Amino acid sequence: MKKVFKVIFFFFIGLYIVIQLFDSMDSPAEESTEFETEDIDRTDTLEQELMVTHKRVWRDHDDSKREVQYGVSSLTDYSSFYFRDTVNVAEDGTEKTFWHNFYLGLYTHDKDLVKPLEDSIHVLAESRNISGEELVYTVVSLVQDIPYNYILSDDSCSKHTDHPCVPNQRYGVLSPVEFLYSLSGDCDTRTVLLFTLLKNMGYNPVIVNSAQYGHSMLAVDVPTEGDYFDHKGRKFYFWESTATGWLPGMLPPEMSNKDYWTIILDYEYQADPTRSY
Amino acid sequence: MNTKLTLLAVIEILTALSLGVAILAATYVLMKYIGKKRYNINQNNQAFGILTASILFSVGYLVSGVIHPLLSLFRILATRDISTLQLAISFIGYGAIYIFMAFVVALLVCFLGVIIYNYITPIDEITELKNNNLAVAVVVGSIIITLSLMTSDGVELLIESFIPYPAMYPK
Repeated sequence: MKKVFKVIFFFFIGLYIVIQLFDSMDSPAEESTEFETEDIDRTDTLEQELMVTHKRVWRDHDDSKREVQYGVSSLTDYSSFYFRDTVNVAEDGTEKTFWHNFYLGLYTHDKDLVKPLEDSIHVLAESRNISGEELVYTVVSLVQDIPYNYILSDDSCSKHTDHPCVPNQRYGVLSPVEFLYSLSGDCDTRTVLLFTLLKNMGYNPVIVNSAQYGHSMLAVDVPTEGDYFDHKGRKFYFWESTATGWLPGMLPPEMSNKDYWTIILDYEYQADPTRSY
Repeated sequence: MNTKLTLLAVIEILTALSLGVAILAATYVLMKYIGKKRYNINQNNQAFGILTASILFSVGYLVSGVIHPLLSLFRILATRDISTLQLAISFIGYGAIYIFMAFVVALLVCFLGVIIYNYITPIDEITELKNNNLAVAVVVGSIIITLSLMTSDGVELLIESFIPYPAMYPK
């Protein structure tokens, strides 16, 4: 028995040394102590056009302070809203095809309209020397930091009082530009925005939905550990985007059955042909 | 090379190894104690050896379900503003609690399997094992292994439910 204790003791010593190495790998705490995440809005009227400027300050996954500022005009917001509200979605009778075509339509329409935020992220990345997979963490943490809002297709907001609620939105989703303008987003509003941003920035995002769990998540092929699925020879890790603190590869325990998740839109604009939704 | 990922992999390996050694040693000692003290079974009894091997596999398999939640716990703790010592103590402390819980559940599954089958079948499995009946040992061992395979997802979910995951989106 003494030998067992000796072996376990040495394993713990080794574990402690590796943990110390792991912890020392984190970037030095840049302004990591005291600050509040904030959203400072400004509205300017330029002739007939209203310009809303959002300044977001948030904590990245390593506790670093991040800050971006971007503007969205009311005309851009209206253009995006009009597209979403009137688009004819090609259907074949399955929900998967419907959502695939709908998300793809939103992405195609808004991919150039999210440039102001994208440019601001690039400026941040250059000034703080963030690149590669680290930038994916920064982008996702930015979206996670935006408080959750219900986006409903009907007027049942009275049943959802724990978070702000936006009623009567077609299909219960806002487009990426509408989300950036209003900062109101539910699960798939967030995943479509993240897909748009990350795809524009050259990454390989995937949107996965679950009919059983009634939820939408992002999946990315960053190197990490945890819950993943294989797709086109790569490992894609699930990433929850509706709240802060979630890391890639962490499926919420109540949604941990991977058989219930289906690829709706991947980085090559395809859906998973093998699974229904 | 992704150094952080390499260190995470080393942490996973070390956690799994220390977990494996501790759990298997504890199970083996327990089985030896039960066999010798309670049922007076000879150490050369092959049937009891098969049963012990089945229980060792089942306990190891069930407790291995803790590794993934433990790694998630480590990653969550690592994002918090705490010192390395606090991180290591929290990880090892929480880890010990979760492993102990999984260990107890695993033992319960194994022993309940033997007791229930002993009750519902006409033969007395314990006596047969004592008499070195290999056929009975293989059957009881298979039952224990199958039960552990069937309950492993539940054990993992049980441990996951204790991991301090971030707040979830509203239902």
